[in-house]
Amino acid sequence: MTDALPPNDTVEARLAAYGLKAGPETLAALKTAVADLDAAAQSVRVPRSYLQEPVHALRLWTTGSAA
Amino acid sequence: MTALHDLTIAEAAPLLKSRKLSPVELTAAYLARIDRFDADLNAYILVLHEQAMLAARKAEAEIMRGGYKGPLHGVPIGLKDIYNTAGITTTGHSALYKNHVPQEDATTTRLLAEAGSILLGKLSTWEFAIGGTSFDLPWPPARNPWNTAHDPAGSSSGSGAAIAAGLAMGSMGTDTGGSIRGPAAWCGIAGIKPTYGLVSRRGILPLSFSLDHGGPMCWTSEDCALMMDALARHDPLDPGSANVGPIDFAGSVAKSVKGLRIGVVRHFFEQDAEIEPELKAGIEAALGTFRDLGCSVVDVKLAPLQAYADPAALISRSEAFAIHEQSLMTSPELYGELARQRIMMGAFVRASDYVNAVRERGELIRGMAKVFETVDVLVTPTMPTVAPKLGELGNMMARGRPSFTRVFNLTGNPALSVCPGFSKAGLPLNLQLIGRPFQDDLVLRLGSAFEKATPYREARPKQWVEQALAAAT
Repeated sequence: MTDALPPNDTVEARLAAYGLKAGPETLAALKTAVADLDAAAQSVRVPRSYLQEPVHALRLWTTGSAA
Repeated sequence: MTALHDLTIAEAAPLLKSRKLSPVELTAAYLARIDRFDADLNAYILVLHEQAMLAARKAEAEIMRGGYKGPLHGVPIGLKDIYNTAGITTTGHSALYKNHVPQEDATTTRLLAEAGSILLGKLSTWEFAIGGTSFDLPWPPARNPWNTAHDPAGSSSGSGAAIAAGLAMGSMGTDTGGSIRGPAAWCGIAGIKPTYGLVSRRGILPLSFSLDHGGPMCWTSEDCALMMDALARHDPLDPGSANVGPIDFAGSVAKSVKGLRIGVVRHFFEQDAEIEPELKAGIEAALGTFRDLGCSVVDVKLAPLQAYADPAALISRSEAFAIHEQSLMTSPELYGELARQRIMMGAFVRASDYVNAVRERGELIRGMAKVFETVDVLVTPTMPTVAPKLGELGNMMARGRPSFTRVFNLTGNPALSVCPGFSKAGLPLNLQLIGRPFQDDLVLRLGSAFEKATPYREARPKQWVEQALAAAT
């Protein structure tokens, strides 16, 4: 169980919900990695002013085609 | 006389311009060297013998009739195999893209061709620039020319190995968390992650749209500057591309560094993370060289290393998963184990955490800009260790092992890795120089001045050549 997932949810259940398949080796490593990501997520879950907007590396309008 | 494969671009260019050196002779020498030695290094996935010789003959004819284009004309280079090449496979070092043949060149591929460079081939990479040193892919991983039992780092592994081994004069890497600077560090060469938006990402297989950077890797910082002169162009087809006007990289590199203010982010490597003692000694010695060059050196304080690592991880994993989700669902077996693990992580990032990571990114960029009001260039290690044995990297992406390089993918600042000496075991030490946004030329100037003031550009890896020759007899 990880913090990123709702109660009664698991890494295995979330993978299945996404339609992703992971063997035992992938799953074990993934659980460790997801725990790391949870800790990273905790660090950005802090009170913020609504004036603090996201930065954008990409422009909304471009002159060229994105296709 | 210097062997052809030991010439820098800056040394070869006047010879090519004055017709004392033929692009055909130079290209043939590189192709012969690749044929003879690359089996021990696996730097190349694909060698373009016929196409390279055709381009070399074209370059020679152009130069002979007075059509010299500049310092890259007739210069043999390699591209990390995530740069699209029209009509030539671009595999991402993955079974998934084993037969992927793009219809168009990446913008950077085109710019380098227009500058007259000769494409020798496509270079090894970590799978899709994320998969780590892997042994379950269609091609083997690249090896470190300083000791082939060791790792060249990644993801631009072949790009770093090829330059160190004299199998290309210049190469292109990409860098989402350190993938140009890591291989530059462990292979003992120069590699710059340019300012975000300065070099087009159009046509480079993406990993993380807002953290990906393309950039050159060469034996010297001066050579990187010569490549940047051809590469730094506004590209309307890249929505992140900046339109900042021309920068004279080569001209800037020739100027003095006297008076530059250098800030050492000492807490990064003395409190926030550990580095090997030999690396620390190398950094202290380099700081002495900077003082000798007339720079002032002071310690500066940034946010803790982990404060950059966390939002960078959330952003990079989310964006990578968004890119690969469909293929992971339909063809997971075509990914190697490491790439599959690392990309799947992104499925577990909440949307609100991604947005807050991007908000935090803005705070960190503003904090970085504040520090750059007091200094011109920052210094940190590039990597915490010298090159480990191949396959013994461990989980370098684990939390608690924050990277010195990823900081500047998040903030977008230009960052260069240079070689400040060698360990007792003969492996390259490393040093990272970081500048203000769009002052890439200043970073390269300092790197070049350092390289010219120290003897480390005179040493070339020879052990693997001796091994190859011994095996052949």
